[in-house]
Order: sequence, then C-alpha cells, then structure tokens
Amino acid sequence: MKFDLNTLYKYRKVYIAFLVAAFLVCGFLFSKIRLRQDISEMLPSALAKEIKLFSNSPLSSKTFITVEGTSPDSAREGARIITEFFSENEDLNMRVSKTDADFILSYYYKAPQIWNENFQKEIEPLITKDALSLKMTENARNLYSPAGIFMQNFILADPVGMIPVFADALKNLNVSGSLSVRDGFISSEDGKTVLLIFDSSENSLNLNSAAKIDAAFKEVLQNLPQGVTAFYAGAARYTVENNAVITSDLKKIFLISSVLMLLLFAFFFREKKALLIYAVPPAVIAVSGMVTYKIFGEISGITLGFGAVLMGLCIDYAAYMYFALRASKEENRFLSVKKMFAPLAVSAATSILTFALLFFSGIGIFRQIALFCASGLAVALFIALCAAPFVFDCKNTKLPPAKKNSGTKFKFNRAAAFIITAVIFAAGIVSVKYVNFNVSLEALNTGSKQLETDLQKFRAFTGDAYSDNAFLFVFGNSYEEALENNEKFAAENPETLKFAGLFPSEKMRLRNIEKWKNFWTADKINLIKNEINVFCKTYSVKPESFNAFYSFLETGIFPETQISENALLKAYDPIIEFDGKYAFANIIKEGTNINFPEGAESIVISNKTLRDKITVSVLSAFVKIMIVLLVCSFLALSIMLKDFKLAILALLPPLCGICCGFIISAVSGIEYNLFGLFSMPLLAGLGIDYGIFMIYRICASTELHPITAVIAAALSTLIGFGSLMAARHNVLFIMGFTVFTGISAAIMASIFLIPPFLKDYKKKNPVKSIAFVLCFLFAFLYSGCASSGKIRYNVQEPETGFAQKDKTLMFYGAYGSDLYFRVISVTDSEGVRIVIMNDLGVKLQDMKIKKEDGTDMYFVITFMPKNAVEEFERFFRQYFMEEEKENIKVINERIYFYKDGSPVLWVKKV
Amino acid sequence: METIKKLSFFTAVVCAFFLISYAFAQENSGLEADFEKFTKVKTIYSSFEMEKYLAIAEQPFVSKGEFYFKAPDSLKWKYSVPFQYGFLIDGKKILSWQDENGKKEVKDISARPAASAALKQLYVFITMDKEQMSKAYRIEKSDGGIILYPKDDSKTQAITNITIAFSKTSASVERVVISEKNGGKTVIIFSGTKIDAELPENAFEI
Repeated sequence: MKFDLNTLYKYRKVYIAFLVAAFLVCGFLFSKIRLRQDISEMLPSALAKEIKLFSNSPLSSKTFITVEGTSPDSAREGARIITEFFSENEDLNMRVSKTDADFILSYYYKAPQIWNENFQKEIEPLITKDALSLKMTENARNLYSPAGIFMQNFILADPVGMIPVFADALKNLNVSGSLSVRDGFISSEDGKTVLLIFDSSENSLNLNSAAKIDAAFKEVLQNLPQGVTAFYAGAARYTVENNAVITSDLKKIFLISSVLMLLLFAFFFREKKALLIYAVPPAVIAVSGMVTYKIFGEISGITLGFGAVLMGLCIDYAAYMYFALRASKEENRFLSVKKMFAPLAVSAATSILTFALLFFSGIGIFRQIALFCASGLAVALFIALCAAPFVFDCKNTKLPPAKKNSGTKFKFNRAAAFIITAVIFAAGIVSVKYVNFNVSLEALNTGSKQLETDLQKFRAFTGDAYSDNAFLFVFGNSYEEALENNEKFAAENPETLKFAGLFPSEKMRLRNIEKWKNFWTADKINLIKNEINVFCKTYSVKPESFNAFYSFLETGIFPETQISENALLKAYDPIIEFDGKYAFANIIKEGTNINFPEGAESIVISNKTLRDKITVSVLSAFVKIMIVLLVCSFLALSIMLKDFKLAILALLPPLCGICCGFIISAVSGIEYNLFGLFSMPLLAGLGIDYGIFMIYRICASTELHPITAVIAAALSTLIGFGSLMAARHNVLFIMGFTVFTGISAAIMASIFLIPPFLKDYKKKNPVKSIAFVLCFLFAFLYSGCASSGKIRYNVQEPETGFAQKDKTLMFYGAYGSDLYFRVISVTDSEGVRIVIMNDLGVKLQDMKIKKEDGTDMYFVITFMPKNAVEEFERFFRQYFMEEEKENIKVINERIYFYKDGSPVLWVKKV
Repeated sequence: METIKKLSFFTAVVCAFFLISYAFAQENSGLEADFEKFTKVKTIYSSFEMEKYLAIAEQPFVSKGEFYFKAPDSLKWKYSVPFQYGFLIDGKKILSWQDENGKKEVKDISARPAASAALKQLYVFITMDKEQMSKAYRIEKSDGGIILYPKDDSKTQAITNITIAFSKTSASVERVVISEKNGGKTVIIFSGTKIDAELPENAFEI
C-alpha cells in the first residue's frame, strides 16, 4: 500500500496514541532527572583553567562555619558540638581543621624541617643561662597551677619556650590578621565568635554534595545550646541557596505562565480539540529536557527555567497551524498543512538558528540552553506539522473575515514613524551610558536575605580576607616539583610568598634539618641540660623525662611521639591537583607585584582578575554573536525578501526592542548582568520574526495568517518571557526582563513603525527559495508526507478515457463576477472527472479528482490563474467527495463555494 | 591556652566546692530539693591545699592558698605557696596577677574566652542551675559525697571524674579529688570554711 498522510489519517488514533505514548515515556524519564546547579556552568569555558584553579583552590573547597555565642564558652560549646557532629558523619566525609594542643605540638615536632635564619635569630636569646633560668621558674609555676596537668606535655616537649616563636610563623596563614587562636579554635578577639573550617573530599559546588552539607548543618543547628547561633559560608551555601531560589522560581514561573497560558487559550481557542495546544509545552519540555540531559549528562535549573520561554515559543507553531486549518477551506487538510509548512519552517528555522548561535558562546549553560530550546522548537514544529493536522479540523468553524490591513486602525505617517524610530535609537544609544552593567560573578548568584546578612558578618569577622586577596598558583609536574618551583618564586619574592617556608620541598626539608643540627651545638645542648637538671632537682622532676627533647635537638626528629601526622598540611594543603599537574596556591594581596623566575609556570588569579577576564571574554563573545546574528539575518532576509529595504525593516523591531530595553533599564535602574547581555541575541532572533510577519502580511497573501493567530502567538511568547520576570534569581529575571521588554517593543514597532515605511510599497510575494534552503531538512522529511491531496498538473489524459461511469451531471455557473462557465462531471469508481468550459464552449479545465490520490490535471487553459484552478478543484472535491461541505451553501438552488467568508463561485445543476 | 586550662580547672574546683558545701549544709541530703536554697548563700571563705600528682614528678607539687566568694559574682582565688598569684572575678571584669620579686603584675583577662567561661560556669554552680550543670556533668551520689562525671568524653577531655567528700563533723567540703585520664590526679583539701560570714573589706582587692 502506498504510504501518504491520508492513509496515516485513517489510522490516526493509533498514530496519535503512539505519539502520546512516546511523549509520556519522555515525560517519565524527564521526571527522574535531578537538576544540577553549578555556578561554574555560567562561566566562559575559555577561562576553564582559571575557573577550575579558583574553584579548586584550598580555600574554595572549604566550608566555613561561624558559631556565635552570648559568651565565649557558649560559642566554644557550640563549636565543639558542630565539630563532633560533622566529624562523626562519615557520609559527609568532612574534616575539621583544628588548632588545638595536638595541632601545635604536631607543628612544633616538624619545626626542624622549616628551620631558617629568622627562627635562629629568635631562638638564640632563649638559650642564655638567665633566660633558661627564668623559663624553668615559669615551667615550675605552670606545673603547680591547676593547669599543670595540661601543661606538662608542653613543658616536656619544649622546656626552652620555642613554641611561641614557631607559632608566630603561622600568622602568615591568617591573611586577615583579625583572627586569633584560643583553646584550639579560631575565634574573634572577644571569643564570642568561633570560626570552624572544614575540608570536604567532594566538590561542594555540586548540588548533591552541597545539599548533604546543608541538611547536616540544619540538623546540627537543632542541637546547639540556647543562645548559640551558627551559619555557614562557602561554595556549598552558594550552591544550595541558588538552587533553592531557582527551584522556588521555577514553581512560580511555571504557575504564572501556566495560568496566563490557560487564560490565553480560554480566550482564543475554547475548543476541545485545541487541548492539543495545551499538551505541546509539556511534551516539548520533556523531549528537549531528555535530549539536553543525554547530550550534556546533566541539566541546569537555569536551563529548565528557560522551559517557560520554550513554552511560550513552542505553542506558536501549533497555534498557527490551528488557526490556519480553521481558516483553510481545503477539503484535504494536508493541502493546508503543505501551505503552512514553509512559513512555519522558516520561522522555526530562524529561531532554531538563533538559539544555535548561542551554542558557540563559550559558556556551558548557554550551550545547554541552545540545545534545549533548539531541540524543543524542532519538537514543537514536528507536533505542529505531524500531529496537529491529525487532530484539528478544517470544518465547522467560523472565523472573522481576514483583513488585509495591518490589523490596527491607528497609523503613523512615514515622517512620524521615521522620527519615532530615530528617537528610540538615539535614546537607546544614550541610555547605554546610564545602564548599570554588573558582569561580576556575584551578580549571577541569588541567595536569601539571610545569606547576605551572614556573608556580611563573615566578611566582617574574617576582615574580608578571601575577597581582597589573590592566588598565585605555581605549577609543577609532581607534588614535589610544585613545592620546589614555589621555593624559586619565594626566593624571588621573600616578603610576599611566606607560605613557601611553611611547606618546604623534600630537598629543602633535608637542608633545613641539617641547619637545625648545625645550630644545636653540644655547648648549647649542655647549657640547656644543666638548667633542666637544676629544675628537676629543685622540683623533684624525673630528669629522664626530657630525653626525648634532647634527642630532638640533636637529630631534628622527635622520638616516641603519638603525634606523627603533619597537622599543618591537614589544616591547609596548599597543593592542588589540576589536570595531571600540581599547583601550589599562594595567597597574596590583590595587586602585589610579583617577580617571576624563569622555568616555572605560574598564574595569578583573584576575584578581580577573574572578573575582568570573564568580562572581556563574555563581551567579546557577545559582540561576535551579535555581529554574526545581524549580518547573517540581514543577508538571509535580503535574499528571502529580495529587497535590502525590506531586510532593514525586518531588523527594525529587534533593534527597537534592544534600545527600549536599555532605555527602561537606565530609567528604572535595573542592573544588567552577563545573562542580560546574552539575552539580546535571543531578542534579536525572535524579534525578527515579527518584522518578517508584518512584511509578509503587507506584501503577500495572508489567507492562512489571520491576525488572531499572531496575537495569540505573540501573547504566548510574552507570557513565557514575562513570567521569568517573577523570578528572584538574577539570571532568570534579567533574561525575562530583556526579552520581554524587547519583544514587547518589537511587536509595537512591527505594528506601528513598519507599515508607514511600506506605504505604497508595490506588493510582491517574497520568494520562498530561502525558506526551502533553510528548511531543507524539514522539507526532505516532509516531502513524502505532503504528497497526499496534491494536484498534479500536465498529467497525460488516459487513453482509456472514462472509467466505469456511474453518474453524469451538468452545471453552469460563474467564477467571481465575470467568468461564466459550464461543467460536465462524470463519476466513476476512482473519483470524478470534471470538464469546465466557458459559455462559448472553450475548454478551460479538465481534471480527475481522485478519491484517494489527489487530483490529476489533464488540461488548464493558459490564462487561468493557479488559485482559480485550485479553488475549482477544492469546490468539486468538497462537493463530490466530502460528507461535510463546510464551505458550500445552497441558496435559491445555486450552490455557492465560500472562501474566507466570501463566495468565490457558484454553480447550478442543469 | 594556658589561661584557659587554668581557669577551667579552677572553675571545676570552685564549682565542686560550692556544690558540696551547700549540699552538706542541709539536713535533707537530697540535692534536688536543695538546689533552690543554694542561691541563698551570700559569702564563702575557705583555705585550701592542693597536691598535684604528675607522671613526670617523683613527688607531688603542693601549693596552698585561699578563696573568697560574695554573691552574686565576686570571687578571688589566691595562691600563696610556693608562688603568689591568683584570679579575681568581679562582675564581668576578670583579672589575673602574680607577684614577682615583690612586684605585682596584673593582667585584665576579661576579653579572654576562658575567663568568661569560668564566670558562666561559676554562676551556674552558685545558683545551682541544675539544667546548666547537667549539661556538663552527670551527677551521682557516693559514700560521703558525690561524683561528677564529665559528659564530654572526647579526646580533649582530660578529667575522668571529680570525687567530692564531705566533712563528717561540719557542713563543709573536706576533700576534692580530680582524676585525670593520663593517670595523674589533683587532691584539694579545704579547711577553715566559713559560710555567710562577714568578709574582710579588702577581700576582693589585689
């Protein structure tokens, strides 16, 4: 059996059921997708190295918990509870960086490895006879005091009092200088605020990890003593807060857009079968969501937020098809579909191409959005062309007669339109100066007010140490090489890179231990031994208790200690692994001049430098995209419209839209972020559609483009973008704002500004060649399906003449007001043979309207317009073949054929 | 850190003393019923002798001193042998001092977390705030006294328990033994305790 859409139509229930099942499967799979909210997705991939380094820097991977109490002990108690909770929660795998007695002793035991001339200068005054005598008295007092129990380990390890000297070097880690260490906790000077620093083995930018940390933190909050509060900061908090806002926004956006869409449908459609249009958005989002998830392996909440936009865009095609089929008088619905194919495909292709341009933006999330929207639009087009015609009817519908004007009674003259356009452009250009462009990363984050309050407290507490500083990453092929290269940098920048001394390479460690051993001469050790022996004798302390200390001085290794790990490295490991390499992360003051030694790769990254680089990268990508978009659009429009003036006019609405966006932003103070900029190409691509439509409407036939369809489609688009403006998240809001204001302005410009410029413009049909070039793929797919119901011209008349005759009829009538004709029809088993002659007997047309395979046109007189031929064919097909003759009325024995509410021809049976 | 350790220990001792003094002073030995009455104590004076048994020493470190308390929040804890030093808590102000060759070196340690911690713990035990006390210790009765077990059993907790023995002849504490995890212990013997007696005018001067 030959396949065509009419055949498929016979099995439409099965076909529709199959499509519904397919969409339901996609919907089910889509519901299983977990959103990913990673701020790094929003950043240019060209800066991947910097971003990866920054996001994996030793500080970025930490979670900072600030505990506040009404008193120092309550703060410490809260800190202790939180520390225990997180340390015992194996699922979180978080390690707290403590600076307790064990930490200090561990660090002290490794002191020979970091030994240098500065320590030597500080220690030497401590090993005189007088200094040692005083220190021994202090040791005794400590042993007598209540704290003697705790102090004895320190006295045994360091009877000389060197620990404060080495501990002083740890201040280099306290880059803010506003913190102090008390009772093992980093705390404020008054002790009422304690800072806990946790390391996590997982990347807390990942939503799953961040959610775990957040849930655990909320749980431990319940266990804190009365009056103790705590909050946490770090990547996990940003991720969770962003996700919370986006999730809340998504609900809000989908609720608002769904309600408005329902109202829209209720106003414009109000028909049972129009319910298909309701089903388009979820079907489209389910499929495009799955496609995006499959390609990228993840999907962002921001991308899904664009679902609202997609909802607005994707129903356009189904709505156009709905109204086109209602407006169509074709007996064969697929003939109308064929006519709608080109404009729908062109519109979809331009929108898909616009989104496709975003695929080259260099920002991960834009690529997601590009694929999500492009695939969604393709699905929407498929539904409009391949599903809607099987559901919507061409019959029993009364539409308001189509108007050939622009759809509005209010019209500007050309001069006024020119002045208004010039004013909009001038104001837009001037406004750019006053628009607040905030391209910082912070502008992309949206959290709760509590987060802002907490961050303010955190910055005040830490002296904003981590915002005002920069990282100098020094690379190496191995952990050791990174340490060695960093030492080269430290040698060139001794006052700046103080971390290097605390984290020496293996070679440096061995050298330092040698220096230590050289420093502790036998004379010095004997002097110490003598003073300790006096102390032991005076206070009955066992002299052998200090043997480990003597060995430490002699060898640089502290024997028989239970503390073997390097607590400093555990608290802060400056080396990060990066793409198989290693990088030493130095924290330096922003703007510090660094001397770069040869032979070692390095990079300086700070919030500021990264922000600047992102700005340059994004602006560069933005400019490229806009130029490519406008140039490509102009060329395509010039070819399609065969007129440069029309091409420029088609670009007028989106350009007005962009200008109006700038004007409103400048006046209202709304801040543009990175995403606001990247919404402009979207606006340009979408806004062009309205210009094209208006030009088509004025310059070409509009029979299948009723103004109602355009209004419904435009409103749906505005609802999609407008609902984004309800979002709290800066990214979603600015996209909504940019495109909503832009599209609104573009629609207004299309309606009021384009018509005056086209006044007295000679009407011509814009060529469709470019449409078919753009839509080659769709045309290829559709070509086989569109064959049903077609008219085949210049078909050779069969030699057998008429088939089995069933019935012969004769008619006379008139086409329009001046072409009178006569008709002989012969019905046989295949269909109806129609021969039309003028009133002088000259044959005008000869055709065979077949029941199942379109119409064979054997003869058409030369001057006969094609639309007239097709209208005759449509009339006789409906008259003879179709049960419901919706466009045919019988008045006073005359059989009238109506098109767009007006009679086209009439016949009377003889 | 040193200050913190000192004050923590010191607080534990003082708290234990208050707890037991009042507990024994009541004919009804049930602690529960007496918590409220404890707040009625206005002043306390007592001498003490402290013996510290450390693993590194062949003999105990012995020190002597005295302390004064006046409700609601004045306390002086003073060592006199073998070194002269101590702590003074007066409201929210906390001072420490030590005598060095006849010169008194005084430091204001009010802003130190440990100092305020001591003050709060002290307040808890003076007022017999059972809720707060129970957060830090599990209280059990023993023959002739009570035993306090720290609820914090973490690695950093040095105290195993605090055993308090009451005098059999008077309503006062006779002995406090603080046992440590490392095997060491501290024994404090109180003597000459006076409850609600008039304190010298310069009792809270350094």
